[in-house]
Amino acid sequence: MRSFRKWRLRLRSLLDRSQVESDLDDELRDYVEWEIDKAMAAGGSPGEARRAAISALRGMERVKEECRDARGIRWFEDTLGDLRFALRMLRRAPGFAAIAILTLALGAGVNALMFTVIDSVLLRPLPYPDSAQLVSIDSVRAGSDRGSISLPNFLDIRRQSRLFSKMAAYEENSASLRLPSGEPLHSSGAAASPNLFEVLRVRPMLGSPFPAEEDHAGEACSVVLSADFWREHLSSDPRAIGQSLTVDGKSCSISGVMPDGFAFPARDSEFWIPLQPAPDAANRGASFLEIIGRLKPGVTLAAAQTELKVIASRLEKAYPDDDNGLGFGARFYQDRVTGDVRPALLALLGAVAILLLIASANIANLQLARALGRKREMAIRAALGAGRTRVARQLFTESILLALIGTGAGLILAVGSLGLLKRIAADAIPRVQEIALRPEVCLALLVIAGVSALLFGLAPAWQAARRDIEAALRESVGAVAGGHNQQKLRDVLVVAQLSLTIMLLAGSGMLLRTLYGLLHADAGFAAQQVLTMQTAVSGTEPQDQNLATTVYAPELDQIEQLPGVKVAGFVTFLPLSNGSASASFLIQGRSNRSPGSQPRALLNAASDHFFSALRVPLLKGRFFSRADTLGRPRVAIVNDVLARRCFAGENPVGKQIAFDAGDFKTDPITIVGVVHSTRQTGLAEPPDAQLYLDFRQVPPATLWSQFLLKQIMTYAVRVSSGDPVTVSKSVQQVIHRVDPGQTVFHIATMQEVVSASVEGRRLGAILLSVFAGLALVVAVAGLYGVLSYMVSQRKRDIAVRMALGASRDDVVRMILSRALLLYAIGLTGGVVGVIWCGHLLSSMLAGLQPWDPLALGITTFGLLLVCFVAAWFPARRAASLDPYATLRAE
Amino acid sequence: MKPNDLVQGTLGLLILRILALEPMHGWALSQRLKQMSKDVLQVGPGSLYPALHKLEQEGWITAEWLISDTKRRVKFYSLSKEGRKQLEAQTADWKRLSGAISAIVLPVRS
Repeated sequence: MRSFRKWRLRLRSLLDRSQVESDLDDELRDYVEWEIDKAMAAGGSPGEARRAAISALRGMERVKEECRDARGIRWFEDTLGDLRFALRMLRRAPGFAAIAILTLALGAGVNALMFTVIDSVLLRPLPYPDSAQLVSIDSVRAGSDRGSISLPNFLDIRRQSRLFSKMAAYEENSASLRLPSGEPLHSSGAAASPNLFEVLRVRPMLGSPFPAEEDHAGEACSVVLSADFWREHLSSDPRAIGQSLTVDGKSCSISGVMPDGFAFPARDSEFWIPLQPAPDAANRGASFLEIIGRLKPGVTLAAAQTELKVIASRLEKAYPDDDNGLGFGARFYQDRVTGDVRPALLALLGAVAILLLIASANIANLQLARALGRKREMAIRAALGAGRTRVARQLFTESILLALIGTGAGLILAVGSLGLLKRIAADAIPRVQEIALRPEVCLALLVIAGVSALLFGLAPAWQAARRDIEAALRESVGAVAGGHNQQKLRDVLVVAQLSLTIMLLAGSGMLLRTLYGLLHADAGFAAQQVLTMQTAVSGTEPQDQNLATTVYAPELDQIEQLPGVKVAGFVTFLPLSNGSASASFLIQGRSNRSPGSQPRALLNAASDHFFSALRVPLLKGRFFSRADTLGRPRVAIVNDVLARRCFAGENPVGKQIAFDAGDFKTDPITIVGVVHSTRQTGLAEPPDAQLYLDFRQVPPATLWSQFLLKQIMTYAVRVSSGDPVTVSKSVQQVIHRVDPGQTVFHIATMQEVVSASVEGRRLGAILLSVFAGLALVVAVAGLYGVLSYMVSQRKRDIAVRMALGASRDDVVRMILSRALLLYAIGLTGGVVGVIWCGHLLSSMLAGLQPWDPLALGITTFGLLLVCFVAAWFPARRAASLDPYATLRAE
Repeated sequence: MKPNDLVQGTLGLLILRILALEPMHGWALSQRLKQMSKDVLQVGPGSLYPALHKLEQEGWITAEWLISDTKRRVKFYSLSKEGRKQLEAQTADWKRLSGAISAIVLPVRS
């Protein structure tokens, strides 16, 4: 209560200042009038009364001042005054203010940007209620990555687990859809167990989720759509609920529309269908499901992991054939979504923090230089009675003002570039649609403003506080100012800037080199002049239709006759696009090994011209030919990795292999050729064993054709010259003419496919390079500033040397050697820093050591050149001094 | 020693003491102080008003503008509830302190 009144009074003193001031005047005037009254009453003459009044009035201004002090608002009023003064000072030094604010805006802006991204992507919970309870379960086998889980294993985990309240399985999916209007289109989504929406605790905004599992019998199929899909393709019609949509040839009724922002499991998921038991669903070895579970309240991840371990060992005992060596790993679903980009984002955060440090060092340097120029101003103020702390406080207020304006500008910069970042990062950062600037980020920026003000404001303020007034006043303007300590402090700042810059430059150099290395690595094919497009048949074809002969082969023939097309090929899984299937096989004539240890290879169905379209080199034997048709002896082509792995020292051509797993059983297949390996999953992954089957020989109405032909297939069309995109239209026309139900999507040149496969790395490299470039500019400006200042301060010194016989070259050498010294010390620090933090980048460097001599070498040499240029101008200026004019001017 | 030096530290206490009798304005307060101390303590406006404002800021006295008999706007100070408590506490302190000082400073008659 009491403190409330106190603050109310204080607030009144602040807000209603004119009233308070006039009250004070009234009160004191009243006192004087009483004095006069008293003098008159005592019988004094008016003259005496006047004297009494004057004596009472004496010092009234001081009394007022002390009354204001007593009201306890002095600190605030001083600050206001300081701020006003600081603004005036900044206006009087517009060059300094502009550079400082710009530097800081850059530093703070990129920090705001990275904060926003990290806050939105890594820190903010996923948009599901109690999302911290959501856990993703993967299978982990010794020596291999996290993998999917089979349906029987999923059902067992769900039955046996006591710590999860609910658990759902899903499979990312893409399908050919046919709208109620009849329009065909291709879309991605997921097939999920019906309780998926209960696990996520998100309800459709329209309609209802899938019918519960037990009600879900037979062929009835329902589909849930995304809000975007509903808006775009169903024109937001609420009557769409209950209408039917064809999904992969099957008619499904639309049961619900999810709310905006629901993006599970991927950003572009547009439909969800109930998980249909696949033909081999009962196969415990067929792992194709992802699992998401919701922990019961209070259950920790560690407890869930322990439980899963117990379940895994039970399953391993019960099903030794399939579940041998099986383990389950649980991680928070959020980590699954964002885990891949976390190291990269944190590394970038480190980079922007460094950039802010460099910017702060630069402003500190500018401030120090300016403080020297203002030395006399400060001294005069001190001489007029301003305390040292008072002067220091004034300077610090200026720094804070600068910091606030700079960070404010930075914030504006960040807001402006956020949209750009979201566009270029759309494919590289998960949850990109959720990225938005939040108040927490602004708060963090405010803290940053404070910290940077501390960083660059403390040194000048401290120096002002301990300055010797008398000496400063005595000094002549041109005398050697600054002194030894000052110069040393500024040198230290420049060295720090150079070191930090080297760290950033070396980091971005390494990323760029990795990127370059990947893009120029031998991917196994020639990407130039190739257009690729993915297609999917409608799914309504009769089961026993031979798609190869009725659809694909005629299309390929007609495409090859188009003008400009050199050769057209066809494959199930295009290299570097995200798809692959693998299977284990037997080698004829060798003893049968247990199912777990049979050789495995990535499977593909390919046309005869696929290899020439992508220019995959043939190493031995032959390509497929037109004669390899259904009914003829089956043939296969393997890659060199498979040849090495399975036929070391032998010629694989002529050898026979076979598949024997359940429905996939085949007759022996003869290997007719060996080709160079292509990178299937990513440029950074080492090539795996690959096995190509001739697409004409895939038997229709079998699982084989399900898996290799009724998929999304890819056409690769090589043109004879020019831009391959030019044939895009005519190729699509051919496809549409042959099979009107077929959809075409993801049209891209092969070069675009390659470049998209390194999108995340590219983004990281670009961002880091931009940050490093900014750092370089700022740091070099700092070096230039220090050297220029050194020259202008040491004019006399230089003139004396020249008068004593030093040549202009000597002077240039003196300045350059100074720059070189700073550079060398900075380099040492930077290299130490690179070694120290290099491992932060290791996840982004494919195979490259964090300590990369080439990247570091180029960086150091490049920076040396830039430093040299930065030093050259001050050096020239020093050398062109007229020693006699300079000395006379002193 | 100037009398005022002694007063400085205890001026607040004296003001509270006087205002405990009746509300009054600044000038009257200075006259009353002079009169009560038999002219020993004289407080000029330079000490009086900052002290008053400080006490007001602390919330121990409250101020109110009234129109005097002579039709002038006069700022009257009065003791608040807080101030009364403060007066008691400070008076107790003063007794203890002055007793202690007297015991040392004044020669003991035996």
